[in-house]
Amino acid sequence: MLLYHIADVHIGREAKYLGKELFEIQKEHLERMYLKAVEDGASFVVIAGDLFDSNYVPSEKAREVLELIIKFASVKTVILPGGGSRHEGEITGHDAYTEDSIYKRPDIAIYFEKENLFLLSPVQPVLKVGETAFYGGFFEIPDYPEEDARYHVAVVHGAFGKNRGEKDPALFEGTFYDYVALGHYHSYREFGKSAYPGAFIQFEFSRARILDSGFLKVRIDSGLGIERVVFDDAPRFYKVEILSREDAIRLEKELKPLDFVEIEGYAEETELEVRRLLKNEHIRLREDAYVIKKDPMLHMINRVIREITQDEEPEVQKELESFVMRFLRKKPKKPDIEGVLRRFFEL
Amino acid sequence: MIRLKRLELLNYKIHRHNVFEFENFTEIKKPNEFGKSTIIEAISDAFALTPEKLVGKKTKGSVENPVILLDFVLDGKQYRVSVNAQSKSITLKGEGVYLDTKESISKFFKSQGYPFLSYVVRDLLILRERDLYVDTRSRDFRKFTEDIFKVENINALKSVIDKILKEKGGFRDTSFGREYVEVKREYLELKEEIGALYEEYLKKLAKRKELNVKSRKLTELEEEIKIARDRIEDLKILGNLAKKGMLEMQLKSLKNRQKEIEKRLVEIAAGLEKYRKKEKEIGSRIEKKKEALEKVRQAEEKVLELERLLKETENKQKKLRHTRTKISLLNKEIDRLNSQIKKLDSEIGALVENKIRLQQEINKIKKSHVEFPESILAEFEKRYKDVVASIREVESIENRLAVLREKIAPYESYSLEELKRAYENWKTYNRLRHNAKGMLKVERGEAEFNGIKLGEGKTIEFEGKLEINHKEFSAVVYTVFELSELERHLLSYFKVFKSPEKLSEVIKTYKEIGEKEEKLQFIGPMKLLKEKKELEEKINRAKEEIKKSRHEKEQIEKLEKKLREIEDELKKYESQLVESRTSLEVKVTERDMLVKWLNEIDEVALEARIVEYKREIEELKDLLKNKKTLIKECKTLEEDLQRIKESISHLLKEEGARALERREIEGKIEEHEKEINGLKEYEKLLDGIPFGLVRDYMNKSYEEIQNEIEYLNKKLEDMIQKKIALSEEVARLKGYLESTSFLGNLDEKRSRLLELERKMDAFERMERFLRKVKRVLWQLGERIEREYIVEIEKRTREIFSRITENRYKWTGFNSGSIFTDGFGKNWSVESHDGINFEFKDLSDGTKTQLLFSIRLALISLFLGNKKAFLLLDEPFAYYDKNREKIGREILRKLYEDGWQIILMSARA
Repeated sequence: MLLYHIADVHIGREAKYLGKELFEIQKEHLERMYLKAVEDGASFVVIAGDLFDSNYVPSEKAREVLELIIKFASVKTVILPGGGSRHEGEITGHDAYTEDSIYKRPDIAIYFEKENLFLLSPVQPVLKVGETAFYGGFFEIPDYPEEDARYHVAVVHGAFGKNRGEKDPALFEGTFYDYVALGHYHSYREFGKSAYPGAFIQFEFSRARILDSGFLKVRIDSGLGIERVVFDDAPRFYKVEILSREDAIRLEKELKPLDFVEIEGYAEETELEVRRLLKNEHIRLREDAYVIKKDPMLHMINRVIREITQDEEPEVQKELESFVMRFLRKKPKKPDIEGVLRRFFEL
Repeated sequence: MIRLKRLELLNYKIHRHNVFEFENFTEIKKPNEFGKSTIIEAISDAFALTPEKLVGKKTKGSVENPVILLDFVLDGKQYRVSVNAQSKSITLKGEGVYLDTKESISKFFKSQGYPFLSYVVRDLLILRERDLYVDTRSRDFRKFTEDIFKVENINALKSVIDKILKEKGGFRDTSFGREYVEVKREYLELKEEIGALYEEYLKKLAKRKELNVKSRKLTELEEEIKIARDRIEDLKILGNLAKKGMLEMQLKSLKNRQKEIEKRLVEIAAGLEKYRKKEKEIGSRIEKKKEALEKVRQAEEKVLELERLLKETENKQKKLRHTRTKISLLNKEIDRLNSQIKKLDSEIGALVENKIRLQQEINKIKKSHVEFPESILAEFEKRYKDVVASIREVESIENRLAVLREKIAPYESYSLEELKRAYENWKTYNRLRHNAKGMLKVERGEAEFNGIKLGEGKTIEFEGKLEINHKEFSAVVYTVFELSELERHLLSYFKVFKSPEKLSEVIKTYKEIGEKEEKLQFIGPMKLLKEKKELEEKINRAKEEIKKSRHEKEQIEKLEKKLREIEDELKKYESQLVESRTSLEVKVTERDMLVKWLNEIDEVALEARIVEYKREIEELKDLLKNKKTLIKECKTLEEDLQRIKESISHLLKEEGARALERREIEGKIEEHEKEINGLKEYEKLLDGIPFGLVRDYMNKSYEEIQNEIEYLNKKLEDMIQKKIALSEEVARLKGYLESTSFLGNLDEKRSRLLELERKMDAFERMERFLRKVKRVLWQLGERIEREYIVEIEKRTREIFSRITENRYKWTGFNSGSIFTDGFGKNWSVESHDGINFEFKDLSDGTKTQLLFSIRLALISLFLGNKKAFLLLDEPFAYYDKNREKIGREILRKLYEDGWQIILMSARA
């Protein structure tokens, strides 16, 4: 049995430098993915939360996407609303199944009466479609299998990993589930029988690493096979620090046509290289970029910050490091800090 | 690298003007008191850049303030720093550099990689006698150490975050806080608005469903209406045919009735003829009886008229008698009134005379009467009181003046001005004395000082003046020259007044006398006495005038009262006179009228007329006796006539009714025949009606069918009403659904909410992020001091190992903080062969090496790998030869490493 696993599409979201064009890119890649699914004979597409960026996405946009999905009659799509996975209070944000859920709108709910579109919700946390049973991750994942199902797929939206505040994905190992389709993190991660496909199309700037867009092909037969498919022509967004000439050369070499890069800071001696990089219109120097001078003390402090934040998720760790270091290089003033925060959080 | 080259000192402590030049290794060997420490102090002052602090370091006996000029080479470039306490200026000159403020020079050093140079020089680069320990407890050291380790930045960042975030969650009232609140408010409002729009949208959906159901119902209803209408049409045909049958039956019965009526009409005509004949006969009999009755009625009227005339004439006769009596009474009354009027005229005349006399008397008194105003007397009395009070005050002032004059009698020879001058001099004299204290010590012999006998070795303290008496010798010593001058002027006053207080009292008395005299002059006592006498006379005169005026007033009032009484009486008599005259006039008129009427009456004619009337009445009364019989006969005849008329009326009525009925029946017959002819048409339509219907209604009457049609029509009407209501409903729903777009601006609002949601999310992420930053900063602050230690340990280890030529491989600091007492002593070392030593267990030489290493490690924290100069002031003063050798060896190595060594030493 072959299923496609995607998550975190975030329809309704806009991306810096792309604006509303992101929606067109999302639709185009969804259509291509479904065509591929039909071609591969995939039985299902599982969307593990955050298909929509919010419960307030305009109906017109939502309907456009759902029309596109149901168009592919041979592929059945199972959608899990976004939100947390531990307790009711956590089920908020994005397209969580709340009182005002987008999935409860009459003009949206009508799509789930179609034969090839299914919704996992607290009202119906378990669905059996043909030989496959899907289990929605709400509060607790059911620990008893559907008796006459051949395949058991859990679909869960939440923070799983080894970092602070995350739930250990090892808890899925040894259960009756054949596969646990995760959603929440925008980067691809795989742990045994569970995996995050990452954001379907990236739209946020990352620091710790460059994040690709794509989906997972999951084959469940005698064993579990997970294959990651990356879109080569999807945009990528990342922030960098140019600490050496090598960094500049590497960036130039690895830059893809749809990459959007922001330089947050650069070493004093790399100024010329940075100027050269900026000739590429996809590379921009942030308004609040800082110049990094050689200072053994700062080097030491940077190391300490990394040690202190080692339990954090890498992206968060990098964010903290970048923010704190910026103000250790230059004495912080209130307006500067506020300005940096505004740019940091695009306020 | 920084190298000192030349130091020039001007008026700086011991150095009035000296120049010192430095090599990379300079040892100044000079004896004590040369000013070696001063050279080091001057270099420290040169980098401190505070000219004002040099002022206190002026060379003894010098007028000019100090100036320091220090030449040095920094990274190959020549500079001169000048600190001038004379012009209070500082400058740094060098290649392309001219700076003249402390801030700009410090900034320059920092930019060249020498931050906090003044502190580094003072606390690290200068080593004084044996003092190899670095004092890490000083505030300055801590401050610049923290700057190096960015503690200040960490604290500043923490503080800003604290200003942004609340302790227990959320933002403070800053721009973020306010913006967040605003975004949240808009978000909640918009959410509510969307909720309402969504409700509206759901309502529209429901309405659309309702529209579909109602449209379907409308179509069904229209179908039903059509069926009902067809049925009604069919029933109408069947009904018309039933009606035709019914009409034919009715026509037959109508014709029968027509015949009956005509027969009855003939009978009525015969009856009428009979009754009319009888009516005529009784009518003529009643006519005759009525003529006889008319005559009787006329006789009755005549009797009544005659009786009225008789009564009238008798009454006239009676009135004639009464009038004669009344005239006699009136004559008597007229006589009485005439005599009364005469009496009243005489009374009034007497009263008028009296009144004139009284008025004359009053006018006479009024003419001579003068009124004196009592307010004038009050004014005189008030003024009199004031004058008496003023006289009393004068007496009191004069008494006081007598006392005061007695008081100053002994001092009359002095003028007030003289006394005032003397008082001022006396005060100056006392002040001078008090401020000019002196002391006398008896060296030899004895004498009397200020009246006290003092012998050898005794001392006396005195104020201003000392009198010395010994046997024939007498002298006065004044501590100040002016004292003797003043005393000369004041001597007579001292005698007379004894004290300045007494003098001051006399001056005051003088002043009071002056004031009192001035006041007395102002009041004028003689004038007051004269005014008092005048006032007494005026008051007496006024009192007499008032008394006289009061008496006259009383007299006038009395006479006026009497006059008013006479006037009242006069009025009373005059009114009685008018009344009597009016009454007399009335009586005379009345009597004259009665006399005139009496004269006009003929009494004899009156009597004759009465007799005539009585006779005529008796004649007519005979005629009236037949009246009753006549009336009775007439009544019987009229009753018969009435009965006949009623019978005729009945017959006429019936005749009319029958004629009408006949006309109606004729009309109906015509109508029926016409209608039946018309209905014959429907027979042709019978074929079009469903057979079942014809069968069901064949035997039903026209009314039954009509009822059925009526019922169906009612039903149809209901259906049509329903249809209209439903159509309206459908149109309304369609209108409602077409009036606005189905979704409205719901999607637009949702898009805006998405933006706000993103903003809120950004704020919330920011808050979480800042709290994490705070946690990081908190831990970072704690970790940094540990990191200093690790760093200092590392650097110390490297330097110590090099200085000891690898005899020691490890050094460690044993305390949690470098900012504590005994920083230099909390160390342990490990020798190359693995043996651990505490600081206290090390040999003096090794201790020196370790302390040097620690100092150099600290210097390298600030200057990095840059080399500088070390200024050592007698470092080996208390060392034995061996230890000095080690010390010198360290310095040699440092020199070889590129350090500039400047050594001050007293030893040869």
